[in-house]
Amino acid sequence: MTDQALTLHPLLDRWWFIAILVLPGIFILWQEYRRDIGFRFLRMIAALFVITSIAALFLRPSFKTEKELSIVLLTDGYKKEQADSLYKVNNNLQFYHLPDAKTYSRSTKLASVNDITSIEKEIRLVLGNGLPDFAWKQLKNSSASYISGNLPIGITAIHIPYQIYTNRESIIKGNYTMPTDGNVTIKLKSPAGIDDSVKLKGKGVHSFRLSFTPRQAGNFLYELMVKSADQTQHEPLPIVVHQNTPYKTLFLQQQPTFENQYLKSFLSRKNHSIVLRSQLSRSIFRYEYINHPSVSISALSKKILADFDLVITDSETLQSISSAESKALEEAIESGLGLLVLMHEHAGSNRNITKFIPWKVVSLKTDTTNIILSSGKTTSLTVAPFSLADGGSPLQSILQNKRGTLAGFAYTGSGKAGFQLLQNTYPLILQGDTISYSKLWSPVLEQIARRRSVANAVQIKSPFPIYTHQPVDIELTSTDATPELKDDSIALPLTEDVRIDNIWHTTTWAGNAGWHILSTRDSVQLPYYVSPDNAWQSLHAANLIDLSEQHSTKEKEISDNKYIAYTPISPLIFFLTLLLSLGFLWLAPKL
Amino acid sequence: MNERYARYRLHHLLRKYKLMRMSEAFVLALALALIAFIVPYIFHVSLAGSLALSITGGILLFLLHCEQLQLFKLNAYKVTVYLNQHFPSLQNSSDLLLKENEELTGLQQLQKIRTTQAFEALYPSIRLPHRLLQALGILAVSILASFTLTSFAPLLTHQGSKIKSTGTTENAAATIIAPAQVKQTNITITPPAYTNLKAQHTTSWALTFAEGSAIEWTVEFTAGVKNPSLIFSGKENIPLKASSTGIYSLRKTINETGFYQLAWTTEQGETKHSDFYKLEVIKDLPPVITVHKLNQFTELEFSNSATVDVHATLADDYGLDNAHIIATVSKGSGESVKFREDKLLFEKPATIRGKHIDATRKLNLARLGMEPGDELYFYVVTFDTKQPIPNRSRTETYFISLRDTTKQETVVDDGLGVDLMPDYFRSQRQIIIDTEKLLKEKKQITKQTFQSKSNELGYDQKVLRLRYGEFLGEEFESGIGPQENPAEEDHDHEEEDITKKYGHVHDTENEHNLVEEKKGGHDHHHHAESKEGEADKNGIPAGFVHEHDSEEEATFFTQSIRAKLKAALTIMWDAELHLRLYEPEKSLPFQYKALKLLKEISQDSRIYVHRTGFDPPPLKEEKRMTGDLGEVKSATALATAARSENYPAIRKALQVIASALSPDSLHVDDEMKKNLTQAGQELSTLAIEKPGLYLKSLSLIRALTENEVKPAEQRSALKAIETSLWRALPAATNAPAASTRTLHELDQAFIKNLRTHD
Repeated sequence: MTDQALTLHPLLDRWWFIAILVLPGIFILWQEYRRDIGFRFLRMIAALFVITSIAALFLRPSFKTEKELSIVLLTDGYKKEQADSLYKVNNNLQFYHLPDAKTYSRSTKLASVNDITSIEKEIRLVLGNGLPDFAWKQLKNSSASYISGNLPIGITAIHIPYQIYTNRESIIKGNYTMPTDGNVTIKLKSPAGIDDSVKLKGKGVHSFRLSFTPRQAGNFLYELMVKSADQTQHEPLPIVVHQNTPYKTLFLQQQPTFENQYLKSFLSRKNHSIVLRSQLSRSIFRYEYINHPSVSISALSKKILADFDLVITDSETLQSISSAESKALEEAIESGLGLLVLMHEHAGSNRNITKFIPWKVVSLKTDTTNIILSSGKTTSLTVAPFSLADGGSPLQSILQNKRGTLAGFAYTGSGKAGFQLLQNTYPLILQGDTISYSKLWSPVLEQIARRRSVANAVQIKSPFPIYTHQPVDIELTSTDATPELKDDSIALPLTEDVRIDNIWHTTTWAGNAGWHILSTRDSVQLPYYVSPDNAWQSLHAANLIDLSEQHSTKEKEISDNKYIAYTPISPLIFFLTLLLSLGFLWLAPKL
Repeated sequence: MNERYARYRLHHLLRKYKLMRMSEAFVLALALALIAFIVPYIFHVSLAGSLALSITGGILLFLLHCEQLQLFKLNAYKVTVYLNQHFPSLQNSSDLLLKENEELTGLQQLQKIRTTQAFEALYPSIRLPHRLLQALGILAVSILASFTLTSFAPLLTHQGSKIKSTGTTENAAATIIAPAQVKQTNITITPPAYTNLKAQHTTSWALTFAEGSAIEWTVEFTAGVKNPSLIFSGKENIPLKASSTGIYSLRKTINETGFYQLAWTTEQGETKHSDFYKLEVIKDLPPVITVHKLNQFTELEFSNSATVDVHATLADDYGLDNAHIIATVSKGSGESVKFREDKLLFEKPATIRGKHIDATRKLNLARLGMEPGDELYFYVVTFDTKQPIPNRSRTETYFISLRDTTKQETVVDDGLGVDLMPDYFRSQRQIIIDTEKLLKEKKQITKQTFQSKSNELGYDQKVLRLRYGEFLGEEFESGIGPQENPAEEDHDHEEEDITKKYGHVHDTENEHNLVEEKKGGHDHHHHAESKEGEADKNGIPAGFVHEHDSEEEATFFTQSIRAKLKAALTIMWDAELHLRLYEPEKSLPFQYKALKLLKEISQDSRIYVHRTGFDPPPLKEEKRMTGDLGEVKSATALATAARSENYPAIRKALQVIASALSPDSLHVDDEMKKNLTQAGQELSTLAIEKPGLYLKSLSLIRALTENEVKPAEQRSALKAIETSLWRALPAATNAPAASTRTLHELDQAFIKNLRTHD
C-alpha cells in the first residue's frame, strides 16, 4: 500500500440523497436544540452522529489504495521451492491454487479453473503442470509466464495410429518417463488378452512400441497395463478398428502370368472388384470380371478409368498400349487413379515407359534379394536386374532394402504412378505363407491406389485423452455450403474459418465417459472416447505442460502494474454508532 | 352391608371403565402399529426398522389416548362425579357412597342410604361411555388397508430377492446352478470292463472319464417337470427316462470329447437349461514298444549259430493282450527274390498280459532257413485290450542280413531289401540265369525247343544291347520287336508268350520312359521285316551287323564310361551271336563279362535316368503369327469370388458387447440376448473341440440370456464372453483397403500450380 485516500461508493445517487438527508438533519438538530432537557450539547452531537451514520451507511466510504498486484497461480504438480523463492523475491505476490493442486500456506483456493476469470488480469506466473487450452485462451489479454514443475511420472506421450484395419498389424508408440531407477512393464491388453508387452529399465524417458493385430472391426477398448514395482495402472485405450474397404482394380496384360493370376485371386478373395484385360492378339482380348459387372473396356478412355481405383500392368504391356490409351491413362492418373507397373525390363526408349516410369535406371548384376517380411524371417525373392533411383521426379518408396527401392511411386497430379521390381512373388502363396504375401503386396497396392474423395472429414483437435465436461475442439472440412455435425444426436453449431473456405470449427463438451460419435449428414462418422477422470493422469499432465509452454509469454514483460484497490470501511461501525446515538437520544429525557 | 356392596359396585364400575377405555386405546394403537409397520416396509425400510417404528407408534398412541382420557388419574370419585352428572336420581350424592359412616353427619347418612337404594336400582342400567366399537372398526379398516398394500409388494420378493448366483468353478456350479430346480443328481461312470477301472459315483457335472465309458445320469427334480433331456455337444438331444416319480435317468456310452447340458420344461411351461459341462474323454492310447540294443540295420557273418536277441519293452495304459514278431526272410536277389513271412511269438513271457512287459525272443537265423546273402526283416506288433477293436502298434522294421562272402559286392545299400538299380542292368543277369537254366534243362527238352529258347535269349540280348546302345548315342537301326528266322514265323505268338513268361515285360513296356516308343506294335513288324529284307540282300542279316554309325555323337557319358559301355556292347554282340547259333554255353562267358562291365559302369556313373518328353517339331519362322483369327472372338469370363466373413454372429456380438460395455450403466436387452445366442451357437461348434476354452463362456451366455446373472455381475460376465469370442476368431491375412481423403480446394489448386510450374 502506498498512498491512501477516502472515496465514496454511494448506494444511491449522492446529491439528491444528501439533499434529502440534510433537511431532516437540520430539522432534528433544531428539535434537539429546542427541547429543554439537559445534555443539550451532547444531544446535539448524538443527533449529528445519527445523521452522519445514516449517510455513511448509504454512501459506503472506502479507502482507496494504489498497489502493485501480481498473482501466482499454482496448478497441480508445482514445486513448493519455486513458490517459496518467488515469494522471497517479491513478497507482494499473491498466491492462488487450483482445487487439484496441493495447498500452499500463502495461497487462496480457487473453486475451479473457471474462477480464474476474476483474477485473469493479475496472473503473472503459472506454476506446475499448467492450464488447459480454454483457460489459457481466457488469459490471452494478460501476459502470464509459465514455469513447469515436477515432471509427470508414467506415460507422457502416446500415438495411436489414425487408421487401424482388421487383420493388419498396427503399432502404438509412446513415451514413458521414469523418475528413478526401476523396472516397468507395459502390456497391451486386447479384449482377447495380452497382445504385446515391453519392459523398460532405468531412469529417464523411454520410448516404446506395442503392436497388435485386431481381428474384428468396431470400437473396442484396449488397455495399457503399466506395472511398476509398487502398483499396476490400467489405462483404457480406445481403438477404432476399420473394416477393409475393397476397391476396383483393372489388370492389363499381354499374356497371363502366374504373378498376375495369384495377385488377382488374392484380391478377389478379399472382395475386391477386378477387371482383367488380356491381349490374345492384336484385336482379340480376353476379359475377366470378378465381383464386377461386365463393362466394355476394349479401348481405355478417361471415363472408363475414372471408375477404377488402381490399374496393374507390366512393363511389356505398358510399352505396347496405344498412344490414345496412354493419354487416357495419364489423364486418369492426373485426376486420382493409381498405376502400378510390374517391371520386368526397362525399355528406356519407349515413350510410355519414360512417361510413367521417369526414374533413373541403375543396372545391377544380381536378380535376387532378401527382404524381411514378418518377424525376422528373411525371404529371398527374384527381382528385376536393375533399380530405379530419384531422377526425373521424386520417388516415394514403399518397399526398400539395401538394394534400393523395390516398390515405389511418384505423385502425378492427384494420382500416383508406381512400380514393383519384385518378380515371382507367388511362390510365397505356394509355400503357404499367405501372410507374408499379403504383407508384401498390401502396402504397395494400398498406397498407390486412388484415395477416394469424400465431401466431409471430421478431426478432433483436442489432444487425447478427453475428459468429461471438458471442451473438445473439432474441425470439419466440408464442401457442403451448410454442413451439419452431430455429437451423438445433438447438432453442433459450426463457425466457418475466418481465413479458409470450407473449414469449420466447433466445440462440444464431452459427456459421460465412454464412446461418443461425431457424425455428418453423409454418414461420415468419427467415434471418440471420453476417458474416465482418473485415467491417463500422466499423459494429461504432459499435454498440459506442452500446451502451457506454448502459451507462456516468453519475454517477461515487467510492467509497473499498479492498480487502485478500495478497502471499504466496515458498515458495522456506522451501524453501532447509529444505535448508540439513538439510544442516548432515547435515554436523555429519562435522566 | 348394603353400603359396602354399593362401594364395591362403584369400584367395579371404575375397573370396567378403565378396562374398556384401555382396550379401546389398545385397539387403536394396534391399528396404527399395523399401518406404521406396513407402509415403511413396502418402501423397503428394513424389517427391524419398520417393527421399531410400529411398536413405538403403537405405544405412543396408547399412552396418548390413555392420557387424553385421564385413565391413569381416574379414581372412584371421578366415577361418582360422572354418575351424579348423568343420573339425577342419585341427587348429586353418589360420592357419599365412598365415605365411611363415621365421617358423615346424620343427614348425610340418611342421604347416603337413599342414594345407596337409588344406586342399587340404577346399577343395572348404568352404561359407561366408550368407543370400543369405533376403535375396532378402525382396526378392521387398517387390517384391510395392510392387506391391500402388501398385495402390491409381496413379502416374498422383499425377503428373498437374492437371485441365485452363478457359480464360477465348475464343481461348485454343478451343485448350485445347474439344479436350479434340480434337487439331486447322481452320475455313475462305468468304464469299459477291459480297463479294470472301478465305477465312479459323482455329483459333479463336469466329467472326465475313460474312452467308451457308460455314463448314467440320475436326476431328481424338486418339482414335476416335463421332457427332461440331455443335450450333447449342442446337437444330440436325448430325453431322460422317468425311473420313478420325479427321478429321471439316462445311460449313454461316450467315445468323443464334447460338452452337454440338461434341459427341462417346468410345469409352468418354462423351458430351463443348465450350464454347459464338459465331457472329457481320456483316449485309450495304443501300446508303446521299445526294442533295445538293436540297430535298424545289422549285418552278420554267416555261421550256423548266428542268433539275434530281440529284447522289447511293451507298455500300455490299460493292458496288453497280444504281441508277436512278424519276420520276413528274403532269399535270393534281383528278380528271383523270394519272401517268406513268419509270425514268431515271444519266448519269455509265454503269454502277453499286463501293463508293462519285458519280452524277449532269440532269433536263430539258421533255423529260419537263412543262407548267406539272405535278409531278415522283422517288426514287433502288439495289441492292447481295447474293445471292440484293439489298438495296434508296431515298431519300425529291423533289417538283418547275412553277408554273402561268395558273391561279388554288388548290393548298393547294405540290408536294403529293395534293389535300387534300374531294370536294364538286371536284365543281363536275367539272361545269364535263363541261359544257365536252359543249359541245365538241355537234356530234358527237345532240340527244337532248346534252339528256339536259345534264339529267344539271343533276341533278349539284342534288345538289351539296343537299349545300351541308345545311351551311347547309337542310331536305332532296328526296332525292338520279334526278329526271327522266316522258318520260325509260325512260332511267333508262342514266343511272345514265352517272352512274357520269362519276365521281360519290364524291358518292353518302356515303363520308365527311358527310351522313346518310336513306333507302334504293328509298325515294328513291318519295319523289322523290311529291315531284315534289306539286310538279307547284303548277305548279312542286319540285326547281326555290328555298326556304330553315330557313336561319336554320344554325349551321355564321360570318355572312360563310354569306352566301357562300348566294350560291353561288343561283348553283348558276341553273347548274342552264340545264342543265335544255339550255343548258349559259349555265350555264357561273354554274358558274364558283359554283366561285370555293366556293373562297373553302373558303379562309375549313376546317370541312368534319361527321360525324354515330347519333342515338338521345329516351327517355321515365316509361318509364325500368320493364322487367320477372323473367327476367333474375344472371350469374357464373369465370376464372383466374394467371400463372406467367417463367424458372422460372433463378429456381430463382439460389436454389440463392446458398445454395451462402454457406458457406465449396462443394460442387457432382448436384441443383445439374440446376438449372444447366435454367437453361442457358433461358439458351441468350436467348443466341441476345445471344451475347456469355451464352455465357461457358453454357460455365461446361457445364464445371461435366461436372466440368471445379477446386474452387478453382468459386466464381468460380458467381459469374459468378449474375451473368448475374440479368441475364437481365427487369424486372417491382411488385405489392402481403400482410403479416403477430402480434397480441399486449396489442395487442388496446389496440385494444379505444382504442375504448371514444373
